[in-house]
Amino acid sequence: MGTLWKVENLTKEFEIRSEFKKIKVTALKSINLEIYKGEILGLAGESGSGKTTLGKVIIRLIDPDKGKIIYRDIDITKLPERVLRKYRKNFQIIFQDPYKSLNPRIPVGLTVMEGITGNKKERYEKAVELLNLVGIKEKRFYDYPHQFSGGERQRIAITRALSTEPEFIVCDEPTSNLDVSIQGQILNLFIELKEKFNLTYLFISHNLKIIRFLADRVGIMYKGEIVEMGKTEEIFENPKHSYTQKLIESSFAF
Amino acid sequence: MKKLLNVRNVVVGNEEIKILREISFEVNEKEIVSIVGESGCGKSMTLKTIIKLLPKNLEILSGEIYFDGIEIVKYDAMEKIRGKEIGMIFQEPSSYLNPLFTIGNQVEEAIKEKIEKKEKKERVIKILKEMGLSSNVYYQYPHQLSGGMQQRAMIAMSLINNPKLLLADEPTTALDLTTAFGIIDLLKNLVTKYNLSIIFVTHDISLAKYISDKILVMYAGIIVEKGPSNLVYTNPLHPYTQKLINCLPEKYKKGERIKTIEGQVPSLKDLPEGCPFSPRCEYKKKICENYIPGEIKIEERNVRCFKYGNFMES
Repeated sequence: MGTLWKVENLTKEFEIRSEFKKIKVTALKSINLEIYKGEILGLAGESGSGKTTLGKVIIRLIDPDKGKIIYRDIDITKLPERVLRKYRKNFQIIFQDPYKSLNPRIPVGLTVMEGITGNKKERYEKAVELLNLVGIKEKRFYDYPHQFSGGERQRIAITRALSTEPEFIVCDEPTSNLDVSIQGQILNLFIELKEKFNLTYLFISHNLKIIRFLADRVGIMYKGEIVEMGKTEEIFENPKHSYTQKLIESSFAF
Repeated sequence: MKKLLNVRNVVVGNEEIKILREISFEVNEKEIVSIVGESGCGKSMTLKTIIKLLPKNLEILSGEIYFDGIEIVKYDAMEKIRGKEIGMIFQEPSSYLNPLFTIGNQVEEAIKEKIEKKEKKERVIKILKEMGLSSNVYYQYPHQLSGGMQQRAMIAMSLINNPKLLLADEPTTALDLTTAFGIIDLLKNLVTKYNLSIIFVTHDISLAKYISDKILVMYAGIIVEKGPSNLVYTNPLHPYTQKLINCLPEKYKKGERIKTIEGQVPSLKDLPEGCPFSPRCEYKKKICENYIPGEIKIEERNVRCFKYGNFMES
């Protein structure tokens, strides 16, 4: 397994303006991380621990303050957007809330078509094929997002992410707004798609039950730092950091 | 144990749709009862029926609800009970707290007794502390608190009048696991401390097992299974309960596929004529398509399924 992403010393601070003063919040504290090709790397931690920020910084939706992001031996930390565009289609993100992440005024089929290259007919056919793959039928191609259920919308968001033929997807709590029964379907879908398209996932979730089921390796984040990282089985069987222990304990209490 | 709430054959809906169909259950004193099911099964509507806050287009068509000796369905002074005898907390505390007033102000406002301002403040600070918040929270505004703290403030507000029953509508779904765990333990402790009964709505059946004494499993407005939590979780009888438990990722090893429930919850506008779960059920017989199964009592549980009991194989 080759290294797909390498992150060195990544630091990000946000400035929060409250009434009269500015407060600096460190979202990421010198993060070092490698993501191997073809793996599912789980990222767990409570809200505000910097999981989402890390996911967004890696694919440069947010620029880091310090540190390096290396994608396939290319340092993309400082690449200008017009050069980065070449690589953009290789990495995608799926958000938590499928109610907010789809444009309510564009039929879902056209949303998926946007990411596909080729002439109109080819793009249409590819979009139909991808939608079929996640279980959305062709007759619903021109339906709007509000006509779909939460689970279906998340499927559409996944299709849109797949439309650019990416090799890496950041999954930011993609099932936490869904029912348990739908969650199972979506998790299965993630596994199937990974096998079919040789994908690599950074799977962010506060639900350790999902992380244990899905991830090959897991990183535990706490206050902007990765406090523990390793193979999933090892972390769950023998957590070393006290925060990891606490997290596992409260997750598996019920 | 004394019965606190007794819901008998309640049907809720209007001329077109029935959203709750013959709901019957009991809540004893100092008991936590969970209602489990997918979205759109009528879990929240059951709570709204008990507190009589149904949307305008829906009404209680038949049935009786006894709360502490009073029949609620025909009772027209609900404001004496609501907020005083029955408290309620919701999924997103931030949307139920007024952003313009301090927590202290809002909790004080909920006190129904006529007492002096100083006494009110003392009482509020006392309850905030019991909820695990610092007394400083009295002077703070909702946006200064985290989601978990807001939920604790909401619980304080709902308990300030010492209610006998607390209705909790997915109070931990929007929270982190660690924060949620704190809230759940708090609720469990409140039962003995405040002589409280809780109806806890959740879609996570493993959480329901952890917190409650009894579980009610709902599907499309029907209680398909009810019984002691441990039994329902470890040895579910109704096919829906079985499948719901099989959806949990913790039941699987890495690399396995989760056995999901095929299909979707039916829309309440076109429910199947018979058992609402029959289109998704692997044990479906002909009788399931035409009749809604009645309640059968087996193994300390009440189940509504034709799989059990003596029905002709057809």
